[in-house]
Amino acid sequence: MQKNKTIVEVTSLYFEYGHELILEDVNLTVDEKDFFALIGPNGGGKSTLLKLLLGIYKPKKGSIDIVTQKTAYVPQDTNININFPIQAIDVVMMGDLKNKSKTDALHVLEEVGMQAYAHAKIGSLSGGERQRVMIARALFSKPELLLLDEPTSNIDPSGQKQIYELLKRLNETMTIVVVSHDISIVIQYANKVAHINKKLTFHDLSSMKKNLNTTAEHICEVELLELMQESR
Amino acid sequence: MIEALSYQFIQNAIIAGVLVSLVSGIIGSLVVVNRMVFLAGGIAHAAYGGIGLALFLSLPIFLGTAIFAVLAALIMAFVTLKQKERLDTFIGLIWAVGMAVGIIFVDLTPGYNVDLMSYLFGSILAVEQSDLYFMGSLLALIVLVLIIWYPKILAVSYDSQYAALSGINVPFFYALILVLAALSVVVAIKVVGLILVIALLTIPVYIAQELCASLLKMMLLSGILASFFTLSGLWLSYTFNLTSGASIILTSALFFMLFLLLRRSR
Repeated sequence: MQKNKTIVEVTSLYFEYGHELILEDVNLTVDEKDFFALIGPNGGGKSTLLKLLLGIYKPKKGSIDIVTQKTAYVPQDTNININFPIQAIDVVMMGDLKNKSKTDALHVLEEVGMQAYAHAKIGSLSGGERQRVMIARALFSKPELLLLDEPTSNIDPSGQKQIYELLKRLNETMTIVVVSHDISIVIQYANKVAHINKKLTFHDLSSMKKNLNTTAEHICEVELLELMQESR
Repeated sequence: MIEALSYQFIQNAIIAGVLVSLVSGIIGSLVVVNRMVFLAGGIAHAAYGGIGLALFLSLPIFLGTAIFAVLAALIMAFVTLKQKERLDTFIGLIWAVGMAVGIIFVDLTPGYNVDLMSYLFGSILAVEQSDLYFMGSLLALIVLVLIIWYPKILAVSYDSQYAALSGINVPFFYALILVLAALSVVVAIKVVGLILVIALLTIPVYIAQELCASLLKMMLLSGILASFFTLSGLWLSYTFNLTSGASIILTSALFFMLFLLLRRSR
């Protein structure tokens, strides 16, 4: 198989918050069309790494090279400003202030299955629906790299599956990096997984996935753990 | 009542009431969606320092108050951007220090026995022609800012982190909203007084927020509602010889409760 071009390259990255070391010697490569999952415990530094990739935080040491300019972000908290008087379509259009085309906005809403709610007030939508609008906002800027922070944290299990199915479809045309703590669901969709708890441990799943029964609704996490240990 | 309309001071009061209501509707909407209500409250009280300073130096009241309020707004913007977790402490500090400064300056002003009540509770019936120019200019300035920057102001207000990622200068717009809020507070002091400013900035806005699906519509509806409350309050105040600012606020509060009851019964 031909190797895709590298889109994100993180080299010997260190990050501190206050005097606490959050990330230590993190190395990471994301290739084009990867579905890359960052997993790990709370406080392990996965959201921090995502914010470093976005440029919200600056590294203490090391480097981050992102080849594409077209990066978009879907934040974890979709409940911010829930009473804000704004329609879904106007939230979507904030993804790119230069693009004034309502047709384009409706198109991305259609892509995430939310076109019927284009003119609904954002606060009247459910958590999962709002998450889709946030994804549509990111898509509106036509990204090549999509970064998502816990996209299913406020959503019920069936909604979670729908979101991941949507991401799988988007992955056909763009690179995806997703932060999650839900190992069993991530593993069904990601081709690469990195576990972060201050340090990063990398797993390439493309080779070991064939050993898994991916048709099952739920994958046993114990079984997974064994597989990961084998792949080291 | 019809004959009252022929008096210059009543005409001025009506024009001032509408101008200030439109300003409050627009800026109140921004203040509420950006969760700056208590920042605006702090600025309103700190503005009393400017009133004292203006009396002491014999400056026009609006000018002195505006300078002081804008200064307070910039300090608040700076603190919010640098030390958000300490913001409540700073609001309290600026609130109290501003008022204290005002009172000391009034003490030091020779032979001038200022009517503190008129600043605390407003004096819409004492609005002069020059005040109207100031109010009109502020409304024009706010409309101009919105024409130029509405999409960016909307983006910053809805999700400031995402706005920052899109390359918008969030600190600038944050400070801009606060400075406009400070200037709005200054004109609102004339109508309802600095203690009651918060009510004028929030009551019509709350109702409008429930009814509108866009920030722009919310601003317009807030302005219309505020005008209606202000003119009704003014009429009550004139008819029953009551304090104008308090009458306006209580009228607003009455309609607010009515709104809540109607909404519940639906």
